[in-house]
Amino acid sequence: MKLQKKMGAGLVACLLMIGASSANAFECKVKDASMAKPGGFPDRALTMIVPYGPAGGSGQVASAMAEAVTSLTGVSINRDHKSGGSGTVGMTAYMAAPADGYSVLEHIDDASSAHALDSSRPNPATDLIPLVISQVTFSQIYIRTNEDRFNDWDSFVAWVQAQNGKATIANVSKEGSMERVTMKFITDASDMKIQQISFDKGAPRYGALLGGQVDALFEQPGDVRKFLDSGDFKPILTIFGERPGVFSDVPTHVEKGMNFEPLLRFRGFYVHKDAPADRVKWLQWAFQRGYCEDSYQAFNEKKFMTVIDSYRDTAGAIKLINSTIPQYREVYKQMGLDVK
Amino acid sequence: MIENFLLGSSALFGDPLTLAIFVFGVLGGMLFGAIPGVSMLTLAAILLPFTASLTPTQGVMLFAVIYCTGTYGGAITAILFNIPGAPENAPTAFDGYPMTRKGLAGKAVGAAVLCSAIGGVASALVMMAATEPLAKWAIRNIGPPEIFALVFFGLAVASSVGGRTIWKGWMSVGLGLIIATIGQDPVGGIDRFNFGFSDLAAGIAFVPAILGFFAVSEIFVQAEKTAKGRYEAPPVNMEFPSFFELWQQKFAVLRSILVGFFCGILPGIGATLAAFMGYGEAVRWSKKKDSFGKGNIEGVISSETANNAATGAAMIPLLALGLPGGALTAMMVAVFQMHDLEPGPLVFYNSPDLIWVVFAAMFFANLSILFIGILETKTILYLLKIPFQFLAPLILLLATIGSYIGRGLVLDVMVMFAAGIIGFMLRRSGYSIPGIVLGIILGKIGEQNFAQGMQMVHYDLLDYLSRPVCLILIVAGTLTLASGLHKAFKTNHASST
Amino acid sequence: MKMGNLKNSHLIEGIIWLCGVVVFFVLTYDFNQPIEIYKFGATGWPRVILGILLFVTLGNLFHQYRFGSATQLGRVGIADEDEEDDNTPSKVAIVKIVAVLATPFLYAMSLKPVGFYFATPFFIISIILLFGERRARWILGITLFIYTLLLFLFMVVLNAPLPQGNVSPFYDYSAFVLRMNTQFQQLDLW
Repeated sequence: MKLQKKMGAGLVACLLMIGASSANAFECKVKDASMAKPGGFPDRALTMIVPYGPAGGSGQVASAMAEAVTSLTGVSINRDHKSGGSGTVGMTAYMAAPADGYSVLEHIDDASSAHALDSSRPNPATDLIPLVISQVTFSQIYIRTNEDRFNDWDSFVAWVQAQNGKATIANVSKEGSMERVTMKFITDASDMKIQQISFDKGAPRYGALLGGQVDALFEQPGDVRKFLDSGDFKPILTIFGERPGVFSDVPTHVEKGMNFEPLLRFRGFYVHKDAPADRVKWLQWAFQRGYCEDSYQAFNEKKFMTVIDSYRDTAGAIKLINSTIPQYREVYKQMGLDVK
Repeated sequence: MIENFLLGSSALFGDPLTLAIFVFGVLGGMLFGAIPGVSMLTLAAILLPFTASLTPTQGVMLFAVIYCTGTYGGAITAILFNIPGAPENAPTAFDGYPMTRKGLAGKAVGAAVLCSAIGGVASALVMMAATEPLAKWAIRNIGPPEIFALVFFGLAVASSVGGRTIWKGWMSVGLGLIIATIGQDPVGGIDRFNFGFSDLAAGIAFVPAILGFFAVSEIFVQAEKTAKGRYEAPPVNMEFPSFFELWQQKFAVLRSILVGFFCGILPGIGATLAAFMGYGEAVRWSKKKDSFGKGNIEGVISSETANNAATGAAMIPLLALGLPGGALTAMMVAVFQMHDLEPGPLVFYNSPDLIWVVFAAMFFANLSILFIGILETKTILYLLKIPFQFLAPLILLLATIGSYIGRGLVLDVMVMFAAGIIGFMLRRSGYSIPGIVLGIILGKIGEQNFAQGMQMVHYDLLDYLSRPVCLILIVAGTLTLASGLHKAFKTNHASST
Repeated sequence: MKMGNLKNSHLIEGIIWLCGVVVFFVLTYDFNQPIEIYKFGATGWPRVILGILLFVTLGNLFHQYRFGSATQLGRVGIADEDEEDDNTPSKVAIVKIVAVLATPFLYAMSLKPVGFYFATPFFIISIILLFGERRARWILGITLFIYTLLLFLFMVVLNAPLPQGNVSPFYDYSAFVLRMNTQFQQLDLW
C-alpha cells in the first residue's frame, strides 16, 4: 500500500513538473517595466481590504500580490482583513471608503454570485474596476487514494446511488455558492443523491476526507496539492471543459455526459469606479505587472494556478464577470431562490 | 527517540544563528503575548515574510517557539490587569486577578510561569514520543460528532459551576450561546439577527467580548471606585509560591496536562477550550469550590498548565497530517510552503532533521519560560505602580486596537465596549461572566459541529451515540446537568443578599 | 397573591429575560427559510437555545420564589464579597460613572467617520480627566506619550491598518499622518 502511495505521489510530482515547465514559458502581457507616478500618487502606503482571513486562499493571494507590487513599485500595501458574512462585510467597508485610489479590494467570484442573487449588492464589473484577475481555477471531486469501495467516477456514482442519499461529500455549501450550484448540476446530471456537508475552514474539510468522516471532497486542486503530492487524495472528476495537462488521466464532467458550463473560482483585485482615472491606470499597471513578477508566478505555480490561464486584465475580467452573473442568475431561478 | 532528540538539540545549540533565532522567538513571543492588544499572531504575521530568508528548519522552529512562549505571555496581563493577552489566557484571569487585588500577584505569576513550563514540557515530550500514531488515531476517531459532544460536555461543566445559582450559571451560558448565533448560520450562510446592521453578518467575535467583559469592565469598576473616592492601588508583592504550595497542586497539574493535550489535538479547538476545560475540571474536582474566582492559586495553575499543554498537541495534526488547528499553526503552513515544503506525513520521511530540531526547540522554549519568566516577572510587576488614571487610557486603547485589528471592524470595538458595560452591570447580579464568554466561544463551534455531525449520521440519534467518544461525553455532560438540577432543588444556601 | 421570596427586582429581571427570549424568537421568522442540505435549517439551533433560556429563566424565577437571592454553595466566577458595596453614590459620582461608561462608546462610534488618528488624543484626555487628574502638564504629557507610543508601535513598526475615517477633514488628517509615516520609513535610518 505504501509503495502504491509513493508511486502515486511520484506520478503527481512528474505531472507537476510538466505543468511547471509549461509555466516557465510564461510571457508577461504588460510591456512597460515601469510607469511614472501620476501626480506623485501614491505617496503613502495603499490599503488592501481582504474580505477573508489571512490563512485562506484569498489571504494568501493577497499577500503574494502585495509582496509582488511592493517589490515592483516600492509602495507598501497594508492588508486589512475584514472577514465575515461570506465576503459581504469587507465589500461594504470597501464601498464606504474614500474612492481616492489608496484603497484596493481583493475579492473572489462570490462577489459576482452575491450580485447575481441580489442586484443591490455591488456589481464587481460596473461598481468596481477590476485591476487584474490573478487566479482562475476549476474544481474537482476527490476521494482517498486508499479507498476500496470505489476508485473512479463511474464506480463512485454507482456506489453513491446504492447508498440512497447516505453518501457524504465535504465542501463549502453556503446557499447560492459556486460549490452548491455546481453540486446541483452534478447530482442532477448523474442522477444521484448525496449529502453535502459544509466546512467553512480548509483544515477540517480535508481532515474529514482523510479520516474517513466523509466519502468524497469537492475542492480546487491548488488547495489540496499537498494531499495530492503525498498520495492521500486523488481526483476522480474534473469540472472543466477539457482535461488540463497535469490531470490528463482524470475525466471531465463533459466526458461523463454532464452538459453544463463549469463555474470557475477566480480571485482578483479591484478599485472603486469613482477613483481618479490616472490613479486607476497606474494601479492597473502595478497589479497587472505584479502578476508577472517572479515571486507571484512562483506562488501561482505552487498553487496549481498555472494549469489553466489564470490571467485576466481589466477587459478580460469584466468579460468573465459579465458572463458569470447571468449564469448564476439562471441557476438561482431554477433552484427556486429569491433572485432580487 | 532520545537519539533523535539529542541530534535535534545539538543542531539547535550548535549553530549560533539558529540559537539566536531561538532566543529571539522566546523573548518575542513572551513580549507580544504580554502586551494586550497585540498577540503572538501579530508578531508571527510581521515575521512571516522574513522567514523566506531563513532555512526551513529555522523558520518553522521560530514559529513553534513563538507559539509556546506567546501562549504563556498572555497570562501576565491576565493576572496583573484582568486583561488576557489571548483568549486562551482568559480563565487565568478568573483567579489570577483576584490574587493581584489581594497583593498576591507574585504568587500568581510565579505559578503561571512554572505551570506553563510544566504543561508545555510535558506536552512536548508526548509530542516527541507519539506524534504519528496520535495524529492518525485522532483523525479517524474524532470528527464533528465527537467535537460537538466535547463542546456539550464543556458547556455542561462550565454552566454547572459558574453563577450564584445553577439557574444563573445556565442563563449565562445560554446568553453566550444566543449571542453566538448572531451573524450567519454555519450551513447555509443565511443572515440571522442582524438588526439592520450589515456588519453584524460577520457575527460577534469572542476576542472583543473577552476584552470587554474582563479588561473594560474592570476599568469601569475602578472608575466607579475613583468616582466614590475609594480607589486603592493593589499592593505589589514579589513573593513567589513556595515549593510546598506547588507540590500540593500536583494532581491539578496532571489533570490539566491531560485535558489540555486532548483539547489541543482537536483541529479548531486548541488552547482556548483547553484552558477553560482545565479550569472547569479543577473546580469540579476541588473540595474548596467556593474559593474559585476569588483568588485560588489552583485556578491559575489549571488554566496555564492546560493551555501550554495544548501547544505541543496542536503540532501533532499539523506536522503529521498537514492540518493546522488554529491561526498560528496555519501561519506555520505558510512557512513550510515558502520553502517548498508541505507539513504532512511526508515531512517525517523527507525532513526528519527539521522535525527534531522543532521538537527540541519547543521543549527548550517551554523550559526557558521558567527561567526567563521569573526574571521578566520581577520587572513587569512594577507596572502595577503606575497611577491608574494614566494606565486606564492606555489599557482601553490597547483593548480597542486589539479588538479592531482581528477583523478590521469598528463593530468589534463597539461590541467590546458594550460587553464592558454589560460586564460592569452584571458583576453583582450573580451571573457568570466566564459562562457568557464560553457560550460565545463554543456556541459557533458547537452549532457547526452539531450540524455536520447530524448530517453525517443522517439525523439518527442511535447512530450518533454508537460512536464511543460521543457516547461517553454526552452521558458525562448529561449527568453533570442532571446532578446540577438535583442540587438546585436540594442545596444549601450560603448567604442572602 | 403570595410571592414567596420573590422581590420586585426578581420580577423585573425575569421579565427582561422573557422579553428577550420572545423578541429573539419572533426575529427567527425573518430567516425561517429551509436549507436544502440541512433539515434543521437556520432557525433550529437558535430556537433550541431560546427554549433552553425560557426553561432556565422560569427555573430561576421558581428558585427565587423559594430562596430569594441566596447564593448556592459551590459556585464560582461571581462577584467578590469585598466588592459588595451598600453605599449609595452621590449625584456627582453617578454622573462621573455614566460619563466613563459613555465616553468609550462615543469614541468607538467616532472611529468610522473620524478615524483613529484624529479621535484618539481627545479620548485619552477625556479618560484621564474622568479619572480625576487635573494637572494640565501631566494630562498633556501623558496624552502625547500614549499617542506617540501607539503610533510608533502600530503604525511605524506593525503597519497595522487602523481606521482612517471616511469624512473630510478627518480622513485628510489620517492621510497626512500616514504620508509622514511613509516618508519617515523611507529615511533609511538603519
